[in-house]
Amino acid sequence: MIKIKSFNELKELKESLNAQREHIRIIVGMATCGMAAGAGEVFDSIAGEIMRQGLKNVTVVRSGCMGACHSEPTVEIVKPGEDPVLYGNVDSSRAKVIISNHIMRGEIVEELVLEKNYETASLGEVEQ
Amino acid sequence: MSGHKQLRIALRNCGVIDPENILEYIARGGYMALGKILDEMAPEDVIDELKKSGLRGRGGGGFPTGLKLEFARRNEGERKYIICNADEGDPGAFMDRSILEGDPQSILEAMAICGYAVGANEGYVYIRAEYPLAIERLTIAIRQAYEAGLIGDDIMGSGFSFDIKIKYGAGAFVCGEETALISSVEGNRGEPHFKPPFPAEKGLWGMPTTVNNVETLANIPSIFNMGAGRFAEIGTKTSKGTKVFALAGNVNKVGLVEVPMGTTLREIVYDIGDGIVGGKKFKAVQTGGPSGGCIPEQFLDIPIDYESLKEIGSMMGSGGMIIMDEDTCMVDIAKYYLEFTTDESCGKCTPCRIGNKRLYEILCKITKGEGTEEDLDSLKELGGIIKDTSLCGLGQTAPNPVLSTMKYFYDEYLSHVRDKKCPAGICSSLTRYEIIADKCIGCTMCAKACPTACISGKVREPHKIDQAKCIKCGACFKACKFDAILKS
Repeated sequence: MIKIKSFNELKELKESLNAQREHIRIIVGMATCGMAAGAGEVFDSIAGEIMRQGLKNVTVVRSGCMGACHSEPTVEIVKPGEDPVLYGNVDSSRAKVIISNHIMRGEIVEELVLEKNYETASLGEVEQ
Repeated sequence: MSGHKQLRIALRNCGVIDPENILEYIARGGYMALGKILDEMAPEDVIDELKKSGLRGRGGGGFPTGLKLEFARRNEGERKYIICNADEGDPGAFMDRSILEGDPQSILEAMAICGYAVGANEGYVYIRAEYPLAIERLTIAIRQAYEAGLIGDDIMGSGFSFDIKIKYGAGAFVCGEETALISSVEGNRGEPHFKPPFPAEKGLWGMPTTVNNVETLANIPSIFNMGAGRFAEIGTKTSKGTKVFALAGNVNKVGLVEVPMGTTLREIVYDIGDGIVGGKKFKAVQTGGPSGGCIPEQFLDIPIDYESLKEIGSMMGSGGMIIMDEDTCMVDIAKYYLEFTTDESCGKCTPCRIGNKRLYEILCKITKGEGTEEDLDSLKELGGIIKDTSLCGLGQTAPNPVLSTMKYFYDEYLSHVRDKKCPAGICSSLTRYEIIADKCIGCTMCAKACPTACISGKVREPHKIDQAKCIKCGACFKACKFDAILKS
């Protein structure tokens, strides 16, 4: 990790990080609640499947709590230029179905989709 | 299909970024608020901006955050401290843990902002040792922030330095009270002391100290990124922004929700929480944990904020929200919370140590069917005295679960003491199971389910429960397919 020596360097770093974001992100909810429901296995199974299929443009992310405790483990697929899709009650075998259908063929696995009923205030930009 | 009722500010990054990678936080605008503040704002402007935002403490009290920082700024001290209170202890509340597990960098950024505002160069995160994953992620976050030069010496070349250390708590509820928390950080027993002096004057090691809750801190970077004016447009007249609630209990979609202040309980329970499990009837919602109260159905439509919840005998608290259905006994609920507070009372002051114990004993008596109407008067009187005379917030609010359930569910207390009945059928001493001979076909299901083997009878002949041996577990009631068991 390079040391950030000024506010300008921080802004530049932020811009360069966002410019690189062309990957598909598979986000696994891995807070205590998710882990207790088996998110660890789901993560391993997704990471293994990505390797096996040789998918290069996919990043698997361990994140915190998405808030949907009623349907843990949860997995969110974020494809550049598309609305994110949130899946609930995912296990290792369902994770494989999500990868083969959604990631590889672009078909959403409707029966596992959870409704995402929140907005995130867009807070990334500093108001000048 | 529910609409977009939730708005995420404190939880903006939770479940979105990798909490163990500072670059993901930076890509989402992390440390931009701190960078901007150090680059172009005076400490006084930072405080003014927070005052303008209307942000109030999310840990329970609801004290204006800007004002708190202003007090600490004004007080002279050789050193000053910022403490993050991550000693989340309410049964059923887990929002602080989720923020620390999902977005720890936001807390570090906010602590540095507070440090700059008051003139402090050191901060502590006081976190309970029962949160190992949060501690692990926080430790990684602190290390990465140091490496990136976003905390530590001369942050982003501004000349401002800020160090952050973790201090583990042993998980005592009373340590959520700021003076007790400070004692614990100093290595002493977690006991509160009288205020004044407030921590802003004499806090950690006798120096001016600001203690802020995790969720409060998580809001701070956003306020500077979105602008205090825009933040203040969200919410009600007295309570700005959003509040995170840990939705639990008899509700279909348990989880962590963040809604604008002024959202109604009905919207939270029915639109976001998708109603009561099994289509049962709503009875009450408990907010504020052991310091709060139970809110009955008649208040489902009031817009919730700090003031409205207080008016109806509960409080915002840290944001635990437990939904109860018709099968809940309110006396039993009050007893549960009192058991918790008597256990957690530090014992320093008499009203809390002994008063709450007596309250608990009276409640036990009532749930055993040995209570009298005079006991109900005693509960009220004693509860009032404890509230008025306890030293700290724990004791001052401990009787709330009793007083609020008595206020809204007095009939239920009366049934317990007068008719010796528990209407919800929870208090086992007051419940009786009987087999209706006319309906019993002698299938033996109940006898097989009974753990104490107190049901006798031949196959195809009516069975009978030996009341002396019955432990009122309800197993026979659940096992019977012919509605032949009467619960009363």
